[in-house]
Amino acid sequence: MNQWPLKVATICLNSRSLKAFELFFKSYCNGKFSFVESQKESQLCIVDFDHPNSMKQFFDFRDENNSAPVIGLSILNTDHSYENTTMLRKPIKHDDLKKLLSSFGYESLNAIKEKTPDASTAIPKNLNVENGLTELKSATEKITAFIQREDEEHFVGSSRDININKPNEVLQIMYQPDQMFLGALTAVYEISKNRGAVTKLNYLDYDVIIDPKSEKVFTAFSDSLLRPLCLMNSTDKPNFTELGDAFYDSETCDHELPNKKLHSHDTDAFIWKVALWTSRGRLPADTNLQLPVYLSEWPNFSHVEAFPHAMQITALLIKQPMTLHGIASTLGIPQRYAFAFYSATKALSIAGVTRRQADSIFKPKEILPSRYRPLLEKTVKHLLNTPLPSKKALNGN
Amino acid sequence: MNGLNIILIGPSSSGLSDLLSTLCDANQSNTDLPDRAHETDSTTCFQRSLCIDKNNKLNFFCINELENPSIQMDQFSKKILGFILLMDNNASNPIEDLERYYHMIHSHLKTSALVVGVSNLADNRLLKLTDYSRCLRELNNPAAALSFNNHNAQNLSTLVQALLYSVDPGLEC
Repeated sequence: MNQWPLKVATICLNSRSLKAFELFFKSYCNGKFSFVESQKESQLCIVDFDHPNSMKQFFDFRDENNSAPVIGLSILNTDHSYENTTMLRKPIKHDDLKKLLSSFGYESLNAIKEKTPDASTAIPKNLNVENGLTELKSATEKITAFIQREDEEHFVGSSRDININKPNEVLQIMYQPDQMFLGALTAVYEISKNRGAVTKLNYLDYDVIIDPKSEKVFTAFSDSLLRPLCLMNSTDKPNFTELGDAFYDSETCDHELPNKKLHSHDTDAFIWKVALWTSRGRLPADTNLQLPVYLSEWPNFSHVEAFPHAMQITALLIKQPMTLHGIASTLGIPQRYAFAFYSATKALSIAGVTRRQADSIFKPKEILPSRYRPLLEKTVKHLLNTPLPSKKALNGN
Repeated sequence: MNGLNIILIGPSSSGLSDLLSTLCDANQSNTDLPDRAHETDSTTCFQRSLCIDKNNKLNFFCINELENPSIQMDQFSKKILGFILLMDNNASNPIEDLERYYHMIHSHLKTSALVVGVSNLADNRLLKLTDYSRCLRELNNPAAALSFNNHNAQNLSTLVQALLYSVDPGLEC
């Protein structure tokens, strides 16, 4: 019989993953697992095998602790057959993890629920229900705010502002799109557009089908897999095949993506999202921070997922080229929002670094606040905070 | 109650009345209810108002240019915040329509903003949003051109937000 809470060590899990596991243990396991620093004393270990240092650290752990079971996580390689180690494919399904943890002897959430008294008799007589509801509402709002923050962080990261005159700080916020899914996607999209042909991109064994005519992208995997895929590096050249219009024959479609449900995306929204998930508030490596950047047209905000300040940055940058740090300081926002915005719009080929001397010589014109600013701010807040049903939903059709 | 005006112009106002009602109703926050669906003058098809607070409201005036070919913009108060042009990509020559509307409101654009909503983009693959943006750039106005589905109130809300940020990119929210 295990002593609760079970001590869990981790290898190569970053702080965000740790938080996610912590939340999972609290929500689904009744707090019966807790993290410990000491690997020697741990009774369970979770390893992210996709991390470059994971194997070395895993063997170091085994030298110290040979008895604790290990849960290995990986997005691609789940074929490890190490003793006392169970592999789970990322993204992890809650049910799979629950089942696995149940094998360590704790009562599953379902069992705990079964023991919960009937709701009508469970409320103590002296409990103030109204206060309880208020607390519940407040907790729900907190969770919603937490989820919004999480989503926002996936798009813009959490980096602090940098000093653009310090090369080491600049290097820290650069990424290499050519070595990531984003680079492969934009390169193959260009090829497919120029040839006017449906094209299949294969990246790390995942297929993406690009149709330039309907401006759609088809994938056989969901966003929960796409997001980590965006962060993986690969030096392989993009592998693509021209499918032509035959793709729309059901037989060809089945052959290319057999037995899989296709997810359809608007191309601009797909590239925008992939660029944001890749960037996480960083910049493509060839970006010269000293030069102004231009924006040739508005991103289609009716399609793409907006993130905080995206429309503000657009409205400012469309008027005149500006440096990215200039945008951030003019709007009084962290630089990562401007960097993420630039990454996404550059991937859509509607932004770039300006090479014209005239754009660098003159300081950008000052943006004067509207005399209606307080009223306009109230209006924007109204619009942002009110969920709007579509006409279809209103009619109940 | 003080009011700022946004004018929506398009060849067809089909569905727009319901959509604006949704936008305005959804945003009523226990303040005064607005005047609803009344004729304000000979060229306005209908008007909806969005109460921002007890003292302020945002008025939407919708004009169907086909029914009112000689629109006189001067009849609106001077507080025109901006224009939303609603283009149908399936029309016979939507870029020409855009240019015509643009010249119709040109004199007001020194003091107000412009946003273009384009519907039925999927029905006419020859013209894309980028073509509307290019046309606007050639007219020396880098206004937003966004897709618009007249069954989607969120799209209309996005157009209004784009208009407000075009007026003042420094809005905090």
